Amino acid sequence: MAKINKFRRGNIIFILIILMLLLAPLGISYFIISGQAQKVLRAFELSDEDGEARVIEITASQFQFNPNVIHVDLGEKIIFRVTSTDVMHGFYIDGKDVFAEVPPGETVEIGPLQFNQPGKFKIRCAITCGPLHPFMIADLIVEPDYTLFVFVALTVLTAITVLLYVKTKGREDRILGINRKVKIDVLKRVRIIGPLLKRVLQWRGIHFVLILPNLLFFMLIFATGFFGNPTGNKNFSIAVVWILWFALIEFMIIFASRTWCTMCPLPAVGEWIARRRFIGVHNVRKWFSLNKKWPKSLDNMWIGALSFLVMSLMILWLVTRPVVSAILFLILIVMGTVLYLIVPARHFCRSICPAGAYIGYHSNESIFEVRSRSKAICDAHPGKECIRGSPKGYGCPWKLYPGGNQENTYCGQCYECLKNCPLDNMTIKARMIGEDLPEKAIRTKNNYDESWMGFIRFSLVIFYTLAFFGPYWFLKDWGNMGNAYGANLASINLLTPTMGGFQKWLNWALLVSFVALIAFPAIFYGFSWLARKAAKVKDIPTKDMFGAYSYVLAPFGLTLWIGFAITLILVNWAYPVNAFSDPFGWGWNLFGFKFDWYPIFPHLIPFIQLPLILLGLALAINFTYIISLKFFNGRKPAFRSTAVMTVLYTGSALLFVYLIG
Amino acid sequence: MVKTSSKLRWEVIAGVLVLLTLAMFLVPRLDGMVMGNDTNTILIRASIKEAGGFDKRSIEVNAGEKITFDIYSMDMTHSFIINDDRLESDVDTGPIHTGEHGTVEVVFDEPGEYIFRCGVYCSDLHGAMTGKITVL
Repeated sequence: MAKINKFRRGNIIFILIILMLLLAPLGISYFIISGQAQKVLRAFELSDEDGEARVIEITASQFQFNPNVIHVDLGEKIIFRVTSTDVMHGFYIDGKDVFAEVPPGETVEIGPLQFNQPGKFKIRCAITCGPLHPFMIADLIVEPDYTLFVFVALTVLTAITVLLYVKTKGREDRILGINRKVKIDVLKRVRIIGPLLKRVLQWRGIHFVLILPNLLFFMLIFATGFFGNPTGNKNFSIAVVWILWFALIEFMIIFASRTWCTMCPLPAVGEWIARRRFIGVHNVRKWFSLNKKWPKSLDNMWIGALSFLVMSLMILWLVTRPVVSAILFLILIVMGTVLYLIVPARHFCRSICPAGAYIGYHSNESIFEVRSRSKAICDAHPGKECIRGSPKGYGCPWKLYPGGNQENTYCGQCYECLKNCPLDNMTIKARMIGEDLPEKAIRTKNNYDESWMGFIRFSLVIFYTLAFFGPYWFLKDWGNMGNAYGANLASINLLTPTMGGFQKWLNWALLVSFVALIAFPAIFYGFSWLARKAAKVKDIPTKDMFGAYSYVLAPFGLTLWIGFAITLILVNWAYPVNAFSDPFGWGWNLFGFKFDWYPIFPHLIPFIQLPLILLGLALAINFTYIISLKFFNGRKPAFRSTAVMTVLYTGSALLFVYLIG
Repeated sequence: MVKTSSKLRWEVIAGVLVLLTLAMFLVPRLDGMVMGNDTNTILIRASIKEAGGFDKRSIEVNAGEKITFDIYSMDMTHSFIINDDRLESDVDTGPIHTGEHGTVEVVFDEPGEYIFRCGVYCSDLHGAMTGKITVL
């Protein structure tokens, strides 16, 4: 009983701290910035009320504004003269009530507009002008950019505060002041919902019921991807997958770990054939398949991490051309099925699937886990139904020993163990973010597959932010292979790469791969070496520290990805919503709604992203300290090495802050 | 024995449901039903010429009938224009942005061939984005 009370108190404090972490920077920075802005504006009012408006000439073409970074002074009056050199474009500025049409070959004057909020805003194309239209963006920087100053100050302040906290109060079992070891047994402790959830999860049909609607959506994705509108944002396969699904997954990882894998239809066909059952348990000993063994050398995240990287090298085509997405999903579903029939069971999900890899990598940050109540009971129980299977369920398709499982990475949450266990020893637990991360970091410090997954994910969130919401056209052009056409199956010939296009793509591919695979890991290694020097320890190799520290990129990276997902949803929410009413983009209106595109609070997005960056930074520093404590058994060397790593984390955070502020 | 057969029944139901998801590939066939089958309304989907141009490039109508052209822009801002001396006035929908419909009503009094085209520059082959109406 005492323990539960303690948990609740800790829980409330945890929630309060998280809320403060999220809201405080938002509030503080907004007040400071608007205060500064008011001061400057008053100065302007005194000196120059009816000043002439400055004219800024902009050309719009597929899919860029030129110039793509525009500097204006706070309070300055601006007239934009926008000329389209090719097709019809639109002109929209974050936080301003401006929607202008710029017809082909014509020049349109917009303004005069006065900019009273300092910071970085996006000028966006507002009329679909081709496949890359959603990413036709220029930066408008209202100077002096107090937003950036305040953001940078808050980032550095957060790093120093957390460093001071770990120096004075840091403990191995505390993360940001909260006991990270307390867990709550959801199925037993939570009233009403717990037992209900248990009954639902033990019901054999649950897996099928969750997969079926997703399979339905998948078929629709194939149909729309191959035969629907060639323009991505008007097509279900792009709008729903790459805006709605992609963003929701990032949130789902935090709250529900690998729940997507519970309902993913990709491996389902193979699983059904191998089991010869959709719902029931047929033969738990022998799958209907070749029953080959998965090679041990592939039983890791290397292929998954690299396939995520390769997917990202194609990302600008993938998220804008329906047929490219449809082909990717076709490849994945065929691979999932074929692999299941050669090597049962979920090796495709464990080692190949790009989404499976990154969801698994980040799921250690989840507040959700499937674990045994007591590992001792499982170890002592000779039956091991969770591995072997029983008439009630299959042995773990993810090839784990559920009773002894210590991490979320490869637990696909299929709940077969929950159905199998005769001792009622399996359960779902709610826990703190990254509850077992330090232990996992130490345990698997020399499995560099997950380390590189971390580097890839962390580098790519910056590249995605640049390529999708950044102003630099050359980067988008590289990734897009200089191609201006959308495509479905009928018009797939428009995607034939040209030699010049291929060269452009090579720039993008080499740059991204170099940063993700070599440069960032090398810098990280360098800092690990410095951290070891600073800690003045000799008996621990740098590569061990490098491997273990790299796991802190999991929570850090995830918060950045959530920040990216928020932008994606707030700016482009209209596309997936409309896609339900008109999945093929043929002008249907099945449900009687069609929303005009308009971003929600676009000028406040940085203020939502900043707290997430700071939370990630704080978690990274604190986890580094805990991992160091485990390495060195002394507070002083642990603090010294943490301080060194903090420089790197703060630098990375500042890079992201610079992109958004 | 009873239990087994009831279990098998659920497997069969599940299998049928799985097969039914394939019906999503039939959804494109609903196009006519969704868009309506009014004989005097002609739906034309407009894409850039590289991707096919107007999806109906040869249309037959009867002289003297009031025809409604419903133009839907697939990928770019397009328009639908007919410049012909035989018509009382020029037909022009004005710019139709991607994902939007634009309609225009036309009565063809004289039989013959009429050319319709896109009036908003939309791609390199914009000039070739045309179609033909044959008035009987």
